Amino acid sequence: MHPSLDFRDIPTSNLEAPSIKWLLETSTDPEVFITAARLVPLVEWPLDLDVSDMLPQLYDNFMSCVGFGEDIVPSLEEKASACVMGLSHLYHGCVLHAYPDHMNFFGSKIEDRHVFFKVWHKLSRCLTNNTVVALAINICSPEIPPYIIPDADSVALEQLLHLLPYHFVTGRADEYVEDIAIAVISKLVSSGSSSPSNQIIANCTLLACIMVRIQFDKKDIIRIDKRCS
Amino acid sequence: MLLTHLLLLLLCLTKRLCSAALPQITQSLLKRLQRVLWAWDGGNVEKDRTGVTRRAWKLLDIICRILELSRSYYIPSSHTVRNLDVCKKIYSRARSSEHNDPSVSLADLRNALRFTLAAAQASSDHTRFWYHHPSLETGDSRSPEDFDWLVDCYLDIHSGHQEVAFDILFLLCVMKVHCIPAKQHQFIESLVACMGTNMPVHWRYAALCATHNFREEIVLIDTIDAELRDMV
Repeated sequence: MHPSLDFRDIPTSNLEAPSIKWLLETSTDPEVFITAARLVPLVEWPLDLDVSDMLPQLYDNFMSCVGFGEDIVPSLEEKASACVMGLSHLYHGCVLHAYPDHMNFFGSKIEDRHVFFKVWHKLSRCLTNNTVVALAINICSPEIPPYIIPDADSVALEQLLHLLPYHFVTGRADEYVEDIAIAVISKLVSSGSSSPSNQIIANCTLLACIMVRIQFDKKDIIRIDKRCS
Repeated sequence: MLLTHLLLLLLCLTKRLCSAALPQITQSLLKRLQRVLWAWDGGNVEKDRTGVTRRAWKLLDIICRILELSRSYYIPSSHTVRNLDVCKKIYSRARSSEHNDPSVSLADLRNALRFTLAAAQASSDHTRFWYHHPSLETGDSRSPEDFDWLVDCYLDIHSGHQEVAFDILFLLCVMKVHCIPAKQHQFIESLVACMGTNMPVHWRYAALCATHNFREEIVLIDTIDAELRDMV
């Protein structure tokens, strides 16, 4: 079964990712940088757009938020958090793009998982982003199980929901990841009285589809989990 | 700053309608799950080599919830009978094996029944008992004996597991399943119990509807004992 999905795309959406990439590379205004980094998970990153140079750059930006005490400087927490979100999201995209090959996206000097280990250690106080980094570590080293914090809010859950399909598509999901995916979906679709938005239902459905091995095109995976009206 | 605003504006203007894909993915999910469930041989899902069946069982609960939430996006399944066969398999497995944890089998049965109803876009809501449910029509291909197990199952569990029992009673009503004579007495007794004043209103509705479907059989009972007649 290979359903081809109907996306009512407008050509201008092709401009979103390159403009964010350009902003991240050129902006000297920290506000602009943070906004652009936060938009990374919200737009579609075309598979043919090379983002490999953005990974080290976002990592450097993240490390620039670390002070002498080896912790994130409090005033730069916002920036650090935006970098982590963008970094983890782009990294998952790169892994999917390279699949079924494995690659080291941070160059030959340092292994990818060590990059994320470093990030994880610096972030230990800021729990929400930690789960996102743990997922990135897991996609590098499937033997290290990710986790989900018990009181994760819907924003954190949605971030996980965006990243989890990549783990199943690339065949790197074990039972831990499976349990996390089930926990994330059930938290999002049965959240009390308010019924979830169509976008959340669509993303949960997509994840469930991928989990029971309905084949999708790589293109559909990167497209569907994006911001919708 | 101006650039940021321009970018945000651009993003707002180009909002994609990814929910446009919702009908397609919901439909695929429904079809896929049906196929996986039909292919299940009744064995232990933990031993499933590909992992898909095991995963499907694990996900069944939340997939039911997803289907219930996106009810208006998919075409109701016309395979209710086949889906019910899966439920029957679970029920007979639960009865035959003593090693299995009965609460696990019952949870599976509850999920499978819920899936059958969700696939047919029916809900066991008491206001819907008298509606026409085209997707739950069984046609003439099956004999009443094929659904005997539903009556058995209902009689087995109605006192202890009300949620599952209510779904079964709903199916018995809307599919107009007839009870074999040997079970009539017990079935009528349980229906009368459902109409008691201490029962919640949705149960009384259900019992009334079942009795309505059952009226011809009730009329034909000639060796009716006094107690039963009083109840009726």
